[in-house]
Amino acid sequence: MVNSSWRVVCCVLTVFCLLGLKPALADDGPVLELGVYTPRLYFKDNLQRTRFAREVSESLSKATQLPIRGRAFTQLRDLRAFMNAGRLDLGLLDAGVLSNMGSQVAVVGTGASSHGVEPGFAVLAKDDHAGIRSLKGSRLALVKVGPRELSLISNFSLEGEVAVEKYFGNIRWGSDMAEVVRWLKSGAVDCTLAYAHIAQRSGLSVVVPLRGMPMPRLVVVRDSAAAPHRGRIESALDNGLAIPGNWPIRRLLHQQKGAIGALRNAEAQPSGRRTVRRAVWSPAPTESLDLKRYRLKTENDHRIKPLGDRWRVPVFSEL
Amino acid sequence: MTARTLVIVGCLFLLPTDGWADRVKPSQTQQLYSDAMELIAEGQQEKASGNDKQSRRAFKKAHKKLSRLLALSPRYTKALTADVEVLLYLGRSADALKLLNKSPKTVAKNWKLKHLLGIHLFRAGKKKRGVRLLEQALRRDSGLFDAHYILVGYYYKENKCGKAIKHGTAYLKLRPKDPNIMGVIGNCHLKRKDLTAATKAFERVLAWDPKNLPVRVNLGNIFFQKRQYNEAIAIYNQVLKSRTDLSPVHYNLAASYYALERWTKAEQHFGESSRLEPKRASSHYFRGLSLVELDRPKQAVGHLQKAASLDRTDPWPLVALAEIAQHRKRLQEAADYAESALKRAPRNERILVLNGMIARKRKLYAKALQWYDRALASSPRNSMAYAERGFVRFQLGHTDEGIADLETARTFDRRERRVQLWLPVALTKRSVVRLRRGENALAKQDLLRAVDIRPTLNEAVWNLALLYDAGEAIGDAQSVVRRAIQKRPAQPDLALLSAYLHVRGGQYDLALQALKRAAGASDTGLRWLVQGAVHSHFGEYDAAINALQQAASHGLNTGDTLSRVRLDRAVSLMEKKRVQAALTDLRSMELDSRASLEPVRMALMAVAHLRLGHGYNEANRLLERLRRHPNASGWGVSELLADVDLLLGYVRYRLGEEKAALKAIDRHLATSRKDAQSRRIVVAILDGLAERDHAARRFGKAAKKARRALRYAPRNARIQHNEACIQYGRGEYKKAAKVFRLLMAKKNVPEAPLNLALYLDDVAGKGGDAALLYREYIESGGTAREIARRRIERKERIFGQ
Repeated sequence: MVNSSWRVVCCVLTVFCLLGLKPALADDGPVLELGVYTPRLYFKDNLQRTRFAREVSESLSKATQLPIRGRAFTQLRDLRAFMNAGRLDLGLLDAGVLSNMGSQVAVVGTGASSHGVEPGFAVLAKDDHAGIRSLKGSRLALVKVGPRELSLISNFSLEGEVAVEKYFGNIRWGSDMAEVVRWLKSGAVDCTLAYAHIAQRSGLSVVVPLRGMPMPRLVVVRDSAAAPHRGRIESALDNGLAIPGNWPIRRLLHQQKGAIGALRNAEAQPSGRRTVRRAVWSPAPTESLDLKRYRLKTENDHRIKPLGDRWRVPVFSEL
Repeated sequence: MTARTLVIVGCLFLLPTDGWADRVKPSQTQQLYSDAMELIAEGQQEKASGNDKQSRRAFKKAHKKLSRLLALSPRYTKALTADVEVLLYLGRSADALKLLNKSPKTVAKNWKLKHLLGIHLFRAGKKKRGVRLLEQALRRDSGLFDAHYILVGYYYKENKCGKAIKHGTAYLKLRPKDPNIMGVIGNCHLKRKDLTAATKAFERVLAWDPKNLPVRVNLGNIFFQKRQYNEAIAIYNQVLKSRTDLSPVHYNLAASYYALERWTKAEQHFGESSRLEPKRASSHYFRGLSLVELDRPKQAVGHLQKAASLDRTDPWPLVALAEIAQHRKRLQEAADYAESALKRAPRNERILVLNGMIARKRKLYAKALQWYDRALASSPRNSMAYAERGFVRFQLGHTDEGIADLETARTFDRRERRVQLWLPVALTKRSVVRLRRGENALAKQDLLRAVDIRPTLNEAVWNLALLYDAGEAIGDAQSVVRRAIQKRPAQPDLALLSAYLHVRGGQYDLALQALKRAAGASDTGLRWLVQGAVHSHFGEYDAAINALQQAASHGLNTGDTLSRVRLDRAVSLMEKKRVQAALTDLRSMELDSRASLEPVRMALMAVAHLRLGHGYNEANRLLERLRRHPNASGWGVSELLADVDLLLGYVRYRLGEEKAALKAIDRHLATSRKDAQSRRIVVAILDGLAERDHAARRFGKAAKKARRALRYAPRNARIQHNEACIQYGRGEYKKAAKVFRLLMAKKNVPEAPLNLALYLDDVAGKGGDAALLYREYIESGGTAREIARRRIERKERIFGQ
């Protein structure tokens, strides 16, 4: 824990140094603070993570002509603390934590990787497995992203098929993906659930490809200094805001509606329980009329009416 | 045999016998008497051998002897008798009468002398006295054949045919096979019009004397009178073979041919008669008439003019000339001839009427009326005059008076041709006027009378039949036509009328038969109309429609028959599963929205839409309109109209307007509470509504509808299932799962295993059990198997195969 705090402090100091060297932007208003909390994304180290935060803030600042400063977080509680202290105006947050943010933030954009805005999630393992049946009772490593991570993983990623804490023998929590990957590689754990493309980068196997996990969201903290600039920020995302560098997030796009709701539902349920699907209605077959009961029949008896004035007048004939 | 011969033969009885000479020597008187007797015998012999002169000489000598004897002995009765008989033989009746008058007392006492006196008186021209004496003699001795003979001739000439026949018959008993007397008897019978007896008599004469021409002619005349013209012609021809110069025989023969309407022969023999007897006017007259009949009026005119000039009192040649001119449309010339004829017979009603007719034809109606009035003054019972006057009055517009005259004419002569022709026509004309005035009862009287007089008058029959028909008395109409057809079976108009009435009476087979005989009927429009009705009855709708359109194009008011047939065709098409064609046909019908058939059309269209399974919007509109016509009937639509709310509900249900559908069917159920079909549809509608509520998570409303549906169909497993779905949605999982399990066991509802599987999978955490049910459901082919398939796929993806 001490080690990680130290790292954070180092990062913060580095950022401050870097920001202090940066020339002033056109808008001379207060600098907006952008907090980046994306533990599910894979960074080699915290420096990378901080550099990523800086790239994001710079790109956003350039696009919005607002002074924005980026700050990377690896712990949710730090993020919360900064946010509660009013020291964060913007955030690029993992989608899984948004349900706990409630009305504190307003989502304005979404990150997009080279695999899209919802890249495939998967059960990753060091070895090859066909399904999780063979991994039952094995050690599972997870990144602690949000408070209801178990529900999220069980109900969203594994679609409620299993409660991970019951299905797997042991769960080991990591602070970021780099750590989890190290554990996997070292054999400290047997499997994890992460974006599938991480397996490629880290030399792991995809055991089960799962449904896509939404990428982190760009949010504006309500009642913050960034709130009045929400429109400007959104318009900066109109055509997609590219983040320079080979980062897990390549672009920032407009908010994709609906994706967060599914996560929220999954988190709301106890682990291993999904939203109960409504029963399937058995529709009554379309009723048809028995038209045979209306026996149409030809009349075939058209008595013509009396002819009326069709009298014949004879003529006198001669003898 | 002559009378003279009879007298001689009679005298033979008076000859003296040989006995006398043996007893005494004859005196002078006796000698004279004896000599005279010898001479008489000699005369008789000579007479018998045909030597008239010798016999006459002998008789004269005998007369001399007897005269000497009577001078010697005037009371010698035998001698007197013999002398009178000899004088009879010599034909010297005057001498005989002188002789007899010298001794009247002797004569008075001797009946033989009386007999002879009678004969001589008759011969001397004192016929009445002679006949009286002969009758007296016959009372004494009926065997006096000569007396009979004389009396036959006398009475025949006196036209006392009865007496003549009596004496003739008596004579023939004494002297049978006398053709003359038999001929006289025949003539007497002929005079008495006893043609059979006359024929018999003449035939007997001809048997005895085949060359007797007068009798043969008379026999011919008898056949003529008996109208046995061919027999008469044969006899006349036989006569003419013997003698060709007999003008009367030619005349009679021509008359026979004339009677047989063998005009050429008639004309030939009238010509022969007029050639032999040029002044015989009647020969010219009838020759002229024969030529008229031979259609040679120009030649006829010459002969008729000749006849008119030969007999200046006879008006008939002029009448014939007038008639010829009239026929040749030379009315002025006809009038001249007719007036000339009238001068010859000023009061002859026929000629007066002829003048009237000519005036009528010249449109001189007032003048014609004068002629007819004169004719009627002359002959008050002249039916022809009444008929003509009636006709003229009718033409002058005095309809009732004209008909009254024609009726009077008919009273006097039922067979008068004018009445036969004109009275029914006049009555029919008046009836038409009355019909158009609406006086049907009076018109009917006229028509009945017209048909009674002339059952074949088409117009009268036609109008009477139509009048009955207008009063829906089709049976009466048909009987009128039937009677007329009996008289004129080949009349196409009557056949057409009969066909029409059969159609009116619904007897289409008979109508068809009658129609076959109506080819050439004058009323083409009516023919098409009847044809159309017959075709439609036999289901030949296209032909029927064509025929009715033809009828309409001929100006016939077909009423709504065409529309009715088109409705029939539409129904027929629907029966043949050609519903789209029926619908197109119904759409193309142009009916007034207020027409009585419009509801039927709309109903049929609605049914067509329902059968096609599309066009529910139009069906909806039609049924909405049909609700305003609950009483329409025919074509089987009344049952449909009774269910119009049900149909409306069904159509709306199919349109997805469940609430409106429910409203309509509720109306229907208010009257037909136990109608299973309605209940079934209501259940389906409520189920649909509940499903919608269920989908929208309005579980309360959905449950309410499901409960209502269950009230209509308490044992409906599907509704029970769906009610469980609602419970499931409300979170009453266990309760619902219980129902799903129950229904799954009953296998009534295919979705029950799926829902149970979902329960097991989502709620009970029994994904493995659920997977089995999913598979089971997929195998059952359930409609929601995609859900099950996805679930299984997911499990397999996550857990592995």
